Amino acid sequence: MNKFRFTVKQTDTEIDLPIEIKFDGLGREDLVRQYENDVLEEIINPIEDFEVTRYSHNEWLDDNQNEKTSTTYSFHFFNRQISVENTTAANNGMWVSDYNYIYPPAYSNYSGITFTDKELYYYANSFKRSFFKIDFYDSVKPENQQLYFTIIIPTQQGRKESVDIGTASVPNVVDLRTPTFDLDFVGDKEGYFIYWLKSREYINIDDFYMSAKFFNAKTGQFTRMMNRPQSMLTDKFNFNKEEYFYYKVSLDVNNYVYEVFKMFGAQNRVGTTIENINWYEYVNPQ
Amino acid sequence: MGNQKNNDTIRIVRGSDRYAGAPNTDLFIQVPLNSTKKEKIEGDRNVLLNLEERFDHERQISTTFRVAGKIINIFNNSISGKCNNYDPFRDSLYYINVEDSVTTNVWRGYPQYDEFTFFRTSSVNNHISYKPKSASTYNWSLYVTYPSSNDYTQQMTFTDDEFNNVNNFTVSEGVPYVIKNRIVNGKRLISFYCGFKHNITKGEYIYLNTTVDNKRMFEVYSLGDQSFGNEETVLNIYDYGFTGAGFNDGSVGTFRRVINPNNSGETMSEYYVRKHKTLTTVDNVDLTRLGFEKSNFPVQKKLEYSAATPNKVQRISVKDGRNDFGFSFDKEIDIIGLIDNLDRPLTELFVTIVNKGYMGWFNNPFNPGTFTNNQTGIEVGWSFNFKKDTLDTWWQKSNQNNKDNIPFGTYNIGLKTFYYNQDLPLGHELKGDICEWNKYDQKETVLSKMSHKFSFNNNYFDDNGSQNLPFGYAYQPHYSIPIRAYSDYVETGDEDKVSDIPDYSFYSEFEGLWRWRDIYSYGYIDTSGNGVDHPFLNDNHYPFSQVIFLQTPMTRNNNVFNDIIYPPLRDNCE
Repeated sequence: MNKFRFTVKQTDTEIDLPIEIKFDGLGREDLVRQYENDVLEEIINPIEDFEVTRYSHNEWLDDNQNEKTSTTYSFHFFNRQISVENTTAANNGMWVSDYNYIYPPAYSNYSGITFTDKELYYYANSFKRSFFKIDFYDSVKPENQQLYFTIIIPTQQGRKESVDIGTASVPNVVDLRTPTFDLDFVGDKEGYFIYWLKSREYINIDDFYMSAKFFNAKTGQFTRMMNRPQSMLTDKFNFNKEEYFYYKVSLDVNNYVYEVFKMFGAQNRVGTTIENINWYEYVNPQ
Repeated sequence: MGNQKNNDTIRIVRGSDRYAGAPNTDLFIQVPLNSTKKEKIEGDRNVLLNLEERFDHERQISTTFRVAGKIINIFNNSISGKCNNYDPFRDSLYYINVEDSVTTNVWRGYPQYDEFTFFRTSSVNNHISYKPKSASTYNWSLYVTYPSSNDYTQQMTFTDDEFNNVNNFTVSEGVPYVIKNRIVNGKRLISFYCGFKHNITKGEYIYLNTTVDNKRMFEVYSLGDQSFGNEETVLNIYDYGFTGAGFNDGSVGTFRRVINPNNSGETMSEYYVRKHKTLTTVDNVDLTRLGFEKSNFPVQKKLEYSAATPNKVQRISVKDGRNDFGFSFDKEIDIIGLIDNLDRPLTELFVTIVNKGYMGWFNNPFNPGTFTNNQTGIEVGWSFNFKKDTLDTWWQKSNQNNKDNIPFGTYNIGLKTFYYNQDLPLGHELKGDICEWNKYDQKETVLSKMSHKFSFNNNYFDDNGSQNLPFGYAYQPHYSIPIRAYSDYVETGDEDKVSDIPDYSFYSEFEGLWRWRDIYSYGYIDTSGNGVDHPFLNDNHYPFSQVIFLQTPMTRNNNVFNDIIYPPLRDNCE
């Protein structure tokens, strides 16, 4: 035991004893151990499952009640017959699903952005290296959306149409690709499947919003696509982009299938031959 | 001494101030200062982080597997026939003898490669509608299975090629054999030609199921009969002058392996058919064609001119193809709680492939309604059920012993019925290979691989075969995916002296010791190549399986796939 000796002074009435009091909380060792594990996890990163799995297009019934799994993307380009500012709903047909899309009388002004039939038939580099890029975001709000994955649809796929690339005297009817893609388990399948995280722990998102762009290797520029023709809009350039630039894609994480829905009107399911996933070229103001 | 008012206030009053006449005295207070500190011990709060160790720790505690692989489909389309009873099949053949067919209007040929591939891109025209989603499930069904139990009662028949003697036996009786007496270097040997691999080494013993000269156990003198590569299926005992009929030429029977004759109770092997239980369904499989790999065998196809077809439609028909296929399962296999057929921790998964044949070319069960159970379109057999030049009668559809629990389904088109094999549910059991288990040696050995036979529905494709014993093709359904490995040595230990003896170990009363084989950790491979080193990421093991899938005719003994690589032939020119 320690002994302390105090000398009595007339003026002193109190003394301060520096008595340090310490105590351990019950289970403090366990808490430290837990903290240690937490720090360790933070340092070395926890195990995350980044495995992806394949989602296919959910079945739907055609007019004959046959089960189908295909999905159809149909891209339309504006043919420049008139200025886009002057278009009305009656001009929706000016957006055509064709790579050679310029209205012939206006061809001389826009030959640089379209493709000729021979470029299509011979798979010129400018055509072969063009592609459609489908981006999948978590939100339609551009200020805080994040891009999670992308699907590329190459121009080597697509429906074919018969076109005469010969001359009047020597016709030569050939099959050319069009920007309408019937994707399925067999046949054209590039871009059909969505590959997304299997585990729901890291990112738990089931609904994505997809936008589309056409990357034109001939011009080196891209064209943004809308979910309806600009001709249907009152104001061709000032509109709610959240509504017009996206389709909604819902993943069924239990059955590994997806469905695509419109962002306007009744928000019906699309991507079937009853109603395609239609994309229309957005034309910037000149 | 002052009064203590509370825990942290102490008042000290001088003695003369306490009362009149009180003396001043020395005052002492005792302050109980307990030490509340302790020395820090170096290392108590230090954790050494080592990436390699951390990775290995996570790997060793992970119990889930994501199975993927590749199928190399090797197939020779060799059974032709006619199908005049059903026009869609007739119109889709790869035709042969076209000139005769045009004249006689009896169209002969081969079913196209589409009926044997793993990923078909079209249906038979005018037969049933095609669903692209089912492209990979029309012809074959894939499952992940694991060995779950043993069947000791399977009845079998081994008919040897030389004597053609029939040997009926139960699998638990051991290895079937036929006897042939030989003289080698002046020594009289009794040779046992076995139906399958005997897994016996020189100096070990065999225990017959019958007595010969009042004896049942005999020492193995040598292996093989000097033909190349048959040491695994032929063994010899020295003929000391046995007189029993059991050793006459052509005698048949079965034997079991004994390692130590003085401890025959513990060292005698058990024999059984290993059974597999499904862990996935067909919905869990993603199977597709590989883009950049094909087998080496040529594609055989031709143009069928419209004038040389019964329906006057020109087309290209394909007899043999060369696609390879990739597959993966979208369900993780968690082996926690799973034990194998010997009540040990699971160390092996299997990819199991079963013919489905949904287009209806195959799998007509024998006289539907004849059997009360076990009625299937597929027959099962083992390596010894393939004879050199003839179809073993084991494969008869009327044989109830060659059936497995693979239910068939039907659909009708008009008045015609078509058969296919149904998809199997989770937990469904299938028969597998013949195995030997020696508890003393703590080792399971596969002795004979099982095969499935599928044959044509002769109602619509007549291959001129017997209704009861039709031609057909054989394939092996089970392909191993090792996920752990047992050591190649046997550990022994006394429970009082050794800790952590695994609960699957065997107690030898003869030795008074526990015996077991250790399970190697993931990533460890011993000097003999025993062990597994599958990629580990996402907290899962990723075993990859390469399946060499042979679809072979039944009339040749080419279903035994072995690892022998014969040396190249060299002549004097080299």
